[in-house]
Order: sequence, then C-alpha cells, then structure tokens
Amino acid sequence: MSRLMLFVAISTCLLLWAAPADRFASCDLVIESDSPFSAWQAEIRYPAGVILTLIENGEGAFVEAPDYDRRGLERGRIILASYTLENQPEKRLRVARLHFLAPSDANQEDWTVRLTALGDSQARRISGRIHLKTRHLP
Amino acid sequence: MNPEVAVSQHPLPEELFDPEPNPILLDHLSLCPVCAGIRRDFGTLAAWQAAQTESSIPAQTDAAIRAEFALQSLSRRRRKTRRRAAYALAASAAAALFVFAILPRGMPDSDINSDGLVDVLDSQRLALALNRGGEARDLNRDGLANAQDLKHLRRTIVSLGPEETR
Repeated sequence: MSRLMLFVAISTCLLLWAAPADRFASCDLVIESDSPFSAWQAEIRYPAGVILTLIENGEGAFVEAPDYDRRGLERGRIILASYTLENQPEKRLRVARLHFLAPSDANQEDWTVRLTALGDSQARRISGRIHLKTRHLP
Repeated sequence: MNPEVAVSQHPLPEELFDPEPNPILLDHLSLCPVCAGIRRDFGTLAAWQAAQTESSIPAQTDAAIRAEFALQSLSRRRRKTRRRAAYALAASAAAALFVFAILPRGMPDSDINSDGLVDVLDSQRLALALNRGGEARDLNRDGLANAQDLKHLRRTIVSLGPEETR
C-alpha cells in the first residue's frame, strides 16, 4: 500500500510538472439494485489523455479498494471488481471512487461504464445499474 | 527294311526330336534327308538357345539385379510408410488445432459457479467456500487449495492483456 502511495505521489508530482494545464478530478461509482448486493464487477473506458491516479474504496461493507490491474490506470480501460463476505443490506451504494488527471478539454461524455457482474450474498447473479458521478469537472 | 517303306513312313514330331532315337527312326533318318535335316537344324537351334539363355544373364548379374530390385522395393515401401506417417501426423495436428480452437478461452477451472464466465462471482463463491471450510480449488497449481488460489483468481479477473492498448 505504501508503495502504491509512493507511486501515486511521484506520478502526481511528475504530471503536475509536465502538464500544468491538466486538472485533477474524481468520480464516484454508484451501483443500484432491487436487492442488496455483495459483489460487483465493472468495466470502465475513459478517453485518451486521462490518467487514473487512485482507486479508492467505497461505502458501507466495501471498505477495501476494489481489485484492478495497474496497467489499466493509463490504457483507457480498466476492470474493477470487489466483493464482501459481510452482511450488506444496502440497495444503493457508492462502491468506489476514482481520482484522475484529465486534460482541461476532456469531456465527461467520453467515459463509459458497464456493470459486468452483480451478485448477492450467496454469489448468485442479480441485476442492477451502475452510474459514474463526476464530483469535480476538470 | 525296304528303303522305300522306311522313307515313306515319316516319324511323328515327338519321335523325330527324341534324344535317344530307336533303330527304326535311325534307319529312316539315314534314308530321309528331309527328316535328318530338320532334326539337325532343330538340334542346332536348341543348342544355340540353351547357350544364349545361359550366357545372356550370368548368375552374378542376375543376383545383383534381384538385390537391386529388392532394395528399390524396400525403399519404395519405406517412402510410402513415411508418407503415411506424415499424413497421420498432419491430420493429428489439424485435429488438435481444431479442438484447441473450439475450446472455450480462459481458465475452465476458474469458472467456480459453472456459468461459462470467470468473474467476481466466482471469486466470491470461492471465498465463501474457503470461509466455510468447504471444498476449494487449486487454481495456481501449487498443490494446495487455499487463500493463495483466491488471490490468484482475483488477480486474473481484473487482469488486462499484456498487448492491450487504447
């Protein structure tokens, strides 16, 4: 974790120095379902020029940051997945927060998010919806 | 024997060429120049033919020809066997390629819930099984079914291909 933080810090410093026109922002990944959910997996595609700087945990039972491939931080596509074995009664929850650096002319419409799996506490597949809510537009 | 009678009674062909002629035939041949000439000519021809047969293909040459023929025949059989083996190998390779092509991609063992997909629900189910002390799977092939397999599966699920780009 400390190595990740170090990586983020160094990346942030370098990027701030190299691209002063870019801005930091973050967005929330929110899942809604008709019943409580305990596992989720999503695929996010983001435009060129955007660099994900940190994948943060969500609310409630999702206290740990989701799993992801570090190569996805700069490739325009990333897969996030997480589950909890604790009791999770919520039907709507922020499951992750993404911090990113984007060019000033980046468009939120270029982001796409797809919920590829959602499961209940017994790992049974259920249906749901996913939203990407930008907190601070670049 | 009356010479006229002896000449008029020509022998049959098999009697004429008998290597040990009887006295009657000898008398006839002494009096009949035609039969004597035929017998002499055919004798000469037979002797020449026998000489030709014996001298045309010496035993050594004949053996060499037979050995060469046997060698060529063996070589042909070997070539045919090699060709058949090559065909069989190519057919096996094609069959293996076909089976490989139609097999589902990914890790069949990792599909814990057998729904045809390897996703977070599989890792959740594996985690539930490990938590309850139930049956787990040795996904990382280390001979043990434990939390390391869950870690391996979680990493696999979110993994991007090495060549993947925007």
